[in-house]
Amino acid sequence: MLVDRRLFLSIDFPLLFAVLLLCGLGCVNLKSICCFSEADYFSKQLVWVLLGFLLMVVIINTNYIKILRSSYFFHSFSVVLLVFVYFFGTSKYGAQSWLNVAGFNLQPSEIAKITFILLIAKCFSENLPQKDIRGKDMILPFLLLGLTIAPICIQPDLGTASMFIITFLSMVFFVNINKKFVGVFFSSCLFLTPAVWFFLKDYQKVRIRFFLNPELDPLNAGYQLIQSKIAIGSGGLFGKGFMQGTQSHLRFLPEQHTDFVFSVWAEEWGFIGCLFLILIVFFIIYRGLRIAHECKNLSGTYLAVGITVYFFWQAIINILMTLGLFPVVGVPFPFFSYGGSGMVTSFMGVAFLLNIGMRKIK
Amino acid sequence: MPLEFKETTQDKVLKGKIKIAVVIVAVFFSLIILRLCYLQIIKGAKYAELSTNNRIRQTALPAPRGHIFSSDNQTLVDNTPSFDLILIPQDTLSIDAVLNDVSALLSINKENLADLVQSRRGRPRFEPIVLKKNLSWNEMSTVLSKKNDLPGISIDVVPRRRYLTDVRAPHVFGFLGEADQQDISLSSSRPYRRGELIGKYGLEKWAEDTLRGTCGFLQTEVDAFGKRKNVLAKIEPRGGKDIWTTLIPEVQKAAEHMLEGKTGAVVALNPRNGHILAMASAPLFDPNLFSRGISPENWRYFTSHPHHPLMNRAIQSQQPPGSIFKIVTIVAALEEKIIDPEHTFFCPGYFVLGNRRFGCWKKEGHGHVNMQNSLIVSCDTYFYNLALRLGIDTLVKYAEILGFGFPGGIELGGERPGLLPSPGWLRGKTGARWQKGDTLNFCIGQGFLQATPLQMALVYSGIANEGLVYRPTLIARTSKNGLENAEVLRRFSLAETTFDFLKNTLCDVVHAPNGTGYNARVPGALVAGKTGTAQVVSLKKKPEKGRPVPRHLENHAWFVAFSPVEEPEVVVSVFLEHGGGGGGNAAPVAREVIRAFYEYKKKRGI
Repeated sequence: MLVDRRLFLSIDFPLLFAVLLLCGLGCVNLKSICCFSEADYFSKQLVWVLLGFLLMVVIINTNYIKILRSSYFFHSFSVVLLVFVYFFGTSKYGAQSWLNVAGFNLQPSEIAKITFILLIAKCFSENLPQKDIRGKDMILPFLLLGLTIAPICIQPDLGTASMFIITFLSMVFFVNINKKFVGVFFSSCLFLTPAVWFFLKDYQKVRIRFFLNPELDPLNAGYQLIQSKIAIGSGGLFGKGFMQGTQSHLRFLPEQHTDFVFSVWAEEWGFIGCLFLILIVFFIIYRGLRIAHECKNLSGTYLAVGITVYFFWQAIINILMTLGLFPVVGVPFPFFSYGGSGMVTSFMGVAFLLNIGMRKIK
Repeated sequence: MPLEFKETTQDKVLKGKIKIAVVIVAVFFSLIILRLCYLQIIKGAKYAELSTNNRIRQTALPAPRGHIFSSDNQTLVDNTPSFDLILIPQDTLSIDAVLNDVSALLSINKENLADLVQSRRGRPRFEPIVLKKNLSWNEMSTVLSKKNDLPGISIDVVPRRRYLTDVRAPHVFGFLGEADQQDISLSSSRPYRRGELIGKYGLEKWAEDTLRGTCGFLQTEVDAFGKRKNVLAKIEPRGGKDIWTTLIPEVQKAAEHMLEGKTGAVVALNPRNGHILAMASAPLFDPNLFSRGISPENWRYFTSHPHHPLMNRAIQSQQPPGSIFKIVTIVAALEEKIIDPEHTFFCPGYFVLGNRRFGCWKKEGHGHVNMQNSLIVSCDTYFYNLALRLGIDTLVKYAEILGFGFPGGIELGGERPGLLPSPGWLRGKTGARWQKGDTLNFCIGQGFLQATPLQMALVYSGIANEGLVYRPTLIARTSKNGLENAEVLRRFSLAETTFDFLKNTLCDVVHAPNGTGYNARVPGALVAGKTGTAQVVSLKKKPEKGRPVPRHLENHAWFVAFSPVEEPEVVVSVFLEHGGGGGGNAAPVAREVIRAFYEYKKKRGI
């Protein structure tokens, strides 16, 4: 074993097991999607899981405090990649956010999510005063957020940009912040929201407008959501069974392997399957928060909290999307959706959680 | 590396907040579970029924393309319904049996049908497969009468592009083709669907955004036989916008008629606004062959045809202009005042430069020729004399002023700029030095010089309109009563006497008893024009007299004319590839085009 024996034994095995179980269920689900299509997402996903796992082993071997020290360097590298992708990347779904490296499409914004959380954890733990944090103390973290999402907004991949913002704000929630500042901040956000509308691309406006008023367009944008709802609802209590989902196999469902994996799962495994899946996700998040709670190092706590809320929002938004309770913004289900960059990033996140968890004693 | 640890208030608050977070997360997940409970257990039966009966079909309703009208509102291109035989695999129990029936009914080879179905494997089973496009009325009624025995088979009505046979102008209107991968992936606000038709050539391509409509959608519920039970939702397609071309169908028809059986091009334009009245290129093709996407056999025929019918010779054929270029030499001589127009040169039928003899087209010679006669009889020797006095740089300067070497900027794609050679160009191209002999070839429009028929029409419209050249355009307006399109391309100024001399002399070319352009005389109108016969090979290489000349060695025939001489209304440029002499072959084409123009005017009472 690569890891020191004592450390190895203190790994949070329940968390690791839950993550691997979720990956396994994801692969099973992809297998069902593949059986009626030419694209072999199943085998590709297995490769990504393996790759993510190896990366995790590497990360676990280095004390996270050492990694945190270089977080400015790591995140600068991610931002450079993000800028690079703007000039040399390939375009998908109207956003130029993919980088083609040796035949693989990489999405630097995924990697940037982890390095961003590292950076903010370091920043929160080192640059904030002990109590009564005021607006001026938050200038640096907000500046870092702005610098990171600027290249993503230009791509323009506003779905990913809002994931950064949501993760960041959730991390701010844990900071011992002045209540007046919170009030001022949220009221100004409320005021600025309409301005964001002007920066959205047409297809994004369509999605949001439809989300607010489904009757507006039952054919194009609404079609996906209606079909997704039919898929989930028709699963019933026990589901239609593995590879028996008609909605997905007749291709009523769009983007089944990324955005709508949950619908496929819900159709084939029913309420019981969904409950199981949600409990696994809840368990992962619970363990993440537990690691944060037990960590005796401030930066470690922030890092664990950041990664956990990141998982939480991804899963929640993805599920709400398929249930028609959130606009379709293209957020994958962590460990469950198909996607190389997403899988690798999620494994990196779990690696840090385990890393923090096993070194809490020190 | 042990870390110091001290419990602080900050830590306490943080730990407290983490506990709150666990509660918040639990609440979120509970809400989702409740929602799933509602959808899957309470409403589960309803959704299960919806999914088993999910025979909801979403079909695109193709939008009709905009029409193309002539400027006097005659329809030139419109749409007509066309009927396709389609198969929806999901609605049939045995595809094989259905294909057997269809092939027997319509006597189509069953293997072809099976191949079509095979090629769509892996696509959703509710997606229709087009078995045969453009059914005839007979075929359609046969299918409709047997429809109940053919589950999964139905007939789809799609608009088909129709190019009215009266006036074809295929190179102007162009044609449609199926959107390829590139068109589909183009990030546009109105992306193309697979198989959708898109303008691929000519005005259909240039005005694609205007002509293309916005397709609608139809969501229907269907029964087990694929029949539509009821419509759930519908978005009506919106047709494209119409455009009005500058073409006059009557003039276009005359041009196409005169080009029949030949290879070449005709351009007729109005020098006072740049409107193209006719643009024909031969050999012609039938754009209706493309109206639903062209078949591979036809495409092979077109691309392997020795005379390249898909090439628009009016703007793409670059050839030496021959004697129609001579007006440039005249303009240069008059503007530079190097010679008195009455001064004569003697033409013995050739011109000697050093140890080389440059022949005049008339071997017997023209005798004493002044400037006016030089154009009327097109005496090469006179121009050789002028060219040596002018020098190549002056000639190139005036050729450039008149518009050689520049594209006109017409809407159609693929317009070529011609070629205006100069000593500098030749050095850059081959490293060779420009010889005096090259100047002699240049001054009579031979050698390296190349021009397109449209370009020649523009050069002559500059003379006709006394220095004001409009950008050639095929779009008269984009709405029924919209503004007429006219844009100045370039302006140049020459002495008024130069314009007068050229107009009068070019009129004499047609109307003088010994004029080379007498074939272009139109009763009741004055025509000014110039013949051109561009040599393909030197005279020596041609077979001896009396023996037939192979087509590829035959001269190119040119004729450019404008009419009336005072305040011209039409400029016609005719080019016949390997068409022989300009006066004998090209001038009659111009005559008929001009005649058609006057008849059109008379009919319309203008």
